[in-house]
Amino acid sequence: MAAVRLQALTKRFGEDVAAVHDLTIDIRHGELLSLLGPSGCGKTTTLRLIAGFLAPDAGEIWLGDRRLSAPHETVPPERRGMSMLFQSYAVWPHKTVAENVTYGLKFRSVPRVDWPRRLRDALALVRLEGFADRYPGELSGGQQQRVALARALIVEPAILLLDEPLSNLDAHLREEMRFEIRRVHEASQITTVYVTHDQAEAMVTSDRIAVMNAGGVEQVGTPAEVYERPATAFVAGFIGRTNLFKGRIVADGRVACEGGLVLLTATAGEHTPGDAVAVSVRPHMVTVSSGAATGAPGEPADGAALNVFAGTVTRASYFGDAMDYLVAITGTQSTLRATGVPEPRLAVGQSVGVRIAARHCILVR
Amino acid sequence: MTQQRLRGILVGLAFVLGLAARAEAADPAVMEAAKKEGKVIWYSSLGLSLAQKVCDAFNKKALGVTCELARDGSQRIFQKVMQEAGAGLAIADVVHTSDISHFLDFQQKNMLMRYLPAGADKFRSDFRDRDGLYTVLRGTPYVIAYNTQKVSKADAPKRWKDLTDPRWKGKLVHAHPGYSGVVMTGMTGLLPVLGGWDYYAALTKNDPLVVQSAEDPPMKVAGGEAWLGVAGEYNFYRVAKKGDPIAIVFPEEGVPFVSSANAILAKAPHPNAAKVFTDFLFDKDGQQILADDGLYVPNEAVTYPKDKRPLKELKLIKVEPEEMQKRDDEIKKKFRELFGV
Amino acid sequence: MSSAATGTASRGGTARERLDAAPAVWLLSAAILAVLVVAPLAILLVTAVRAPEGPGFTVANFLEAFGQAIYRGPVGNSLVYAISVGVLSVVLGAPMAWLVTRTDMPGKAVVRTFTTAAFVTPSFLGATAYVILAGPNAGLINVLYRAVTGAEGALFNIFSMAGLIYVTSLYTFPVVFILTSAALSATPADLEEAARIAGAGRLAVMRTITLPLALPAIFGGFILAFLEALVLFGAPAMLAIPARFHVMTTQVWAFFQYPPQVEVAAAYAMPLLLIAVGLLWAQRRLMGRRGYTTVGGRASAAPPVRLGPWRWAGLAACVGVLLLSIGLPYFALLRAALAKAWGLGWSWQNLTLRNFHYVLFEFDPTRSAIVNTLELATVTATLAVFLMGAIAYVAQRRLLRGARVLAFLATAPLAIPGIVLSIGLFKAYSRPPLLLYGTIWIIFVAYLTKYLPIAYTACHAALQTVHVDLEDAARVLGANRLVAFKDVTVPLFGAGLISAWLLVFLPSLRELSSSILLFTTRSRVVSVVIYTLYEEGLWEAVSALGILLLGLTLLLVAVAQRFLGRRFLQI
Repeated sequence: MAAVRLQALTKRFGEDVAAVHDLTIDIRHGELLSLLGPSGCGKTTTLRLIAGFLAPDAGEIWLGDRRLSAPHETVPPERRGMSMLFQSYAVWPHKTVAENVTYGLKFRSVPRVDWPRRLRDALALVRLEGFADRYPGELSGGQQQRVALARALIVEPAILLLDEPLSNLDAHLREEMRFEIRRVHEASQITTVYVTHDQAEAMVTSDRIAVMNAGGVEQVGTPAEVYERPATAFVAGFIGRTNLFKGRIVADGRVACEGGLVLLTATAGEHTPGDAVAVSVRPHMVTVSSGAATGAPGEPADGAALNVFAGTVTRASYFGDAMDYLVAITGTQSTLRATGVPEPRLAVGQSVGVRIAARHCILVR
Repeated sequence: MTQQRLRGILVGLAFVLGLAARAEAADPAVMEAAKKEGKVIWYSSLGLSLAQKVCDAFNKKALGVTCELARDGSQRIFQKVMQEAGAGLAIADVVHTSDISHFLDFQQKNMLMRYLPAGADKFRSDFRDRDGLYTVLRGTPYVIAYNTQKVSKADAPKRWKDLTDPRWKGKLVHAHPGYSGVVMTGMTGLLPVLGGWDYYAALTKNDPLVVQSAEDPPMKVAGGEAWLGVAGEYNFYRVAKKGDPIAIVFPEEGVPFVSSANAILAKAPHPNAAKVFTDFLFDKDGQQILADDGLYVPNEAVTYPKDKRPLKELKLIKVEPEEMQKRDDEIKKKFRELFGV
Repeated sequence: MSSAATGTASRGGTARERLDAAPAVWLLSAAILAVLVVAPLAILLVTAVRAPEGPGFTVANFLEAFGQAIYRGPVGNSLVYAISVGVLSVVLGAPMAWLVTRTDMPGKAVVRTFTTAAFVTPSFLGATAYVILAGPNAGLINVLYRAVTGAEGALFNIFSMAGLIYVTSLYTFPVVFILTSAALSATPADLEEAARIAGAGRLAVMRTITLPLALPAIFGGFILAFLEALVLFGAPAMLAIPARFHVMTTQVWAFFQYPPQVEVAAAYAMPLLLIAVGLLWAQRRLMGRRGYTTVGGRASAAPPVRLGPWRWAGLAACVGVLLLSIGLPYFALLRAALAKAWGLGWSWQNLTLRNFHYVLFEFDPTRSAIVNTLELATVTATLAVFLMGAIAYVAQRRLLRGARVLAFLATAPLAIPGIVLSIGLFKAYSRPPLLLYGTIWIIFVAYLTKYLPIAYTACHAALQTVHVDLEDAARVLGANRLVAFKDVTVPLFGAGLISAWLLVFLPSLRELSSSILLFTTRSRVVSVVIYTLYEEGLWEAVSALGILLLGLTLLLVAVAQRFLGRRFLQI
């Protein structure tokens, strides 16, 4: 069941620029959904539409069977029963931690006798026991972030909205807070929408990720789905590194790429020959080994499920836990990035064999 | 209430008698109405501290009416009265300026109330009243004065034309006819006697300091900022009496006599208080205050300070209101041209 | 989901409220601003091209205003005056700013404090003081000069163009100082260090890096000082008229004397308006969006330039300027305010508090003027901050479309000289149906309009420190806009609002250029009374009233700096 339904939302700023265009997403009850995309993709606009700070120009937002937003009819933020965590923390500097955290309770008709218990629980949840009487100015950035989180959770919101909550933290703290957010989510089970531009953050925290680009959704899926089965060239390129080849279907499952490379893919059956497509190949799905490869260059060896090419290493970079190779495929103008084990290392100029399972050559739009 | 009826009759009677333009000083009906009005607003060009002294004396009588003073230069008062009349505002009750042509203007625009102060029939004859519309409250000759510490009596100018002597370059102070009625009257009187504008053209060669009010030259002369100044005699007399080193010269060519008139405006918001106040201005007590500070006044019951010369000893130049009205524009323009401001 | 299940009944109401309130609020704000800003300007323009009586348009007013040499002269005088004041302000203000921000000169705090005092001192009081100090014959300085040298003439005659330029600059140089020191402290140290590494000596760095970077700010300061002089009435009226020349503002005022030529005055005011608009446009272009604000200086990251023994010379120069601007004039005013009679000279017997008693308790016009002034300044500041706080809020939070139009209107009066504004207001409100002339409310309208830009800029700056997220956080938790405003914005924005209030209140206490055309005997303000007392040569009373005005001003500044933090008017 969808907890929140965003239906064909469009929001324009100014005359012709649509920050969000015809966007439809179902957010499931109890899940943590990330809106992931580069800056300017419309993810924050989407979040502020959900929060009610913005009214859509077209489309609707539903919370269960209650319509929250439609053009000209928008429930204001304070009546949506949501919580939000801001990029700037937005912890009020003139209120103590306790005053900050309990602020929302009076609007949710929580009896005052329950406040101390709720406050204690909330602070315990974010591990800030003993900080109740401090002022925000006396806290570190990470602590302020936890205050904001406690303030958002204490009201038991229908929806929790997170707007790049970790972007102001330093790298180390950010990594730690990712797991923290996941932990808190699992403890609270609150339906959560999480806006971020950091794919690693989305991977760690999310049940599902909605990858956004240019005001629309490219793909919605679990972290594994969007990584392993990217639906579009954009998703493939934005999440993790990839080799992307443009080409045309020449036969069932077979793609002739620009540069002369012919790839056998697993999902080519949906297309008819002549279709323009792109193929995404993750570098770590490419096996590079010394010595000549068997089979004809650029042709699959057994016709079953494996691409095999001969090639030459043109660049080898040491990453510590892995090697990053750039391999020129013999007989084509194509090059390929591949991740290899640190030992044994291959040298620049070395002739190598390249193997890619056909099921790892993903056709994308 | 028979008493009220009686009062009604008395008021009616007062109206009838009022046709003779002679209100009695203690007319109880006027007094009663004045008390209800509570205050009188006096637009006055009398020097600030003297005007304040007059108001204070009036207030001290505790007649149930207080005097509110609005002191400004004659020309500013005229401008404000006209401006306020144009805007349909009635603020001022009693108006007093040193440019008697203003009262001709008021008269022509029917802005004056017909009222003569109590005892006006006994006033000295050369302080005229005009059709019972306005009365000259005080007069002063337009004179030269010098700082006795800077200028010896022998060196002091004897004639108006002596002021154009280059030895006084940078040592003169002159007030502005666009502000001061005293100066406007003085210049109107002097122009024909001294043979026109050449005198003033020559005067500007001495770089006179141009101030606004006729009250200012005595200050400048007393402080030594100017050695010689031109203004009304009373302006200097009052400062000299305080002990400042000032001596007054009555130039041989004659001294224009500045008559400063007083009148009640037809649309005065406090007409009865205005009458009570006007009566005070012209009664012995009011007039004595002015005489003490060196002014000549119409009420002959006053005594003058011993060092004041009787008017008839002076060679006075009479300045007619009509002449002033005629030359007003010319004098302002020409002054601007010659003096630059 | 239970907490989200509020009824649908309230929804329609909210939507309607949003739909209806927004345009209404916009229209109301726009209408208020139009009445305050657009109306007097429009009326001024129409007045300039209309005959005093009768229908139709005419150029006669312009011919009358500019056809005669006596009226063209003041235009040239004003330009000479304003340009010279601009240059002198730069000559004084820019080096002082450099000394205070970028060198190891001692006594910086003292220099800043007294420059602040110069900034809030009205130049008409400076002019009064300098008449006492440098009148050609009796001025204390000239008397001393003659006594010491035995010379005949005067060292310095304050009643001259040079005197007028000098006095005005002493109170306009802080503008250049403020802008320049802000620019100098904002200059990143590495820009200069890069030049040093490249081989430039300290002087070469100054010439090729520091100065060019600060140049827009210095030129911006020049323009503001120029404009201030151009639109000034008090000091020119006190110093130029006795010296027998007019500048444009005093000429406009002269046109108002009987018989008033309002139409000619309106035509005559056009160049003032055009120059002001043009220069402010240039200044904005030059300085980006940082307009006429009192920017608090940040400590420079660059190490201070070591001046060696020259740092004492630098301090001496700064102290010298401040002595001329604050020390001597305040001394002269105090001495006159405490003197029994001016002519009596120096002695203990000549000391008295009578003048204060006189202006406070005996002389009716000052009493009512003090009441009027305090009332006007309070109401003006309160309403300006209330209005501009609301508009700045709406503009910054983008609650309304077209909020920028409101912001533009609110800052437009910056380009309207006070005396020009007054002509428009006089014409608009001196006859029924809107008869404000004769009351203090016409002066109130003038002050409100004149100080809208200060209020707007200050409120806008204060609001910028309150991040919108802070409010949104409250709203998400259930506070409506008003509650969020009350709980979050007001406590955080409060100090900013109080400084905005003071930034309007303080100049309202001393406003003269607008008041001089609009006051009546019923509606006098302190500045006008000071000016009219000056016209009668009553220096003692002028000084006493001036000392009271300065005392209140400096007290408020000190209290504000103490309680609102050092950033208030911190120079």
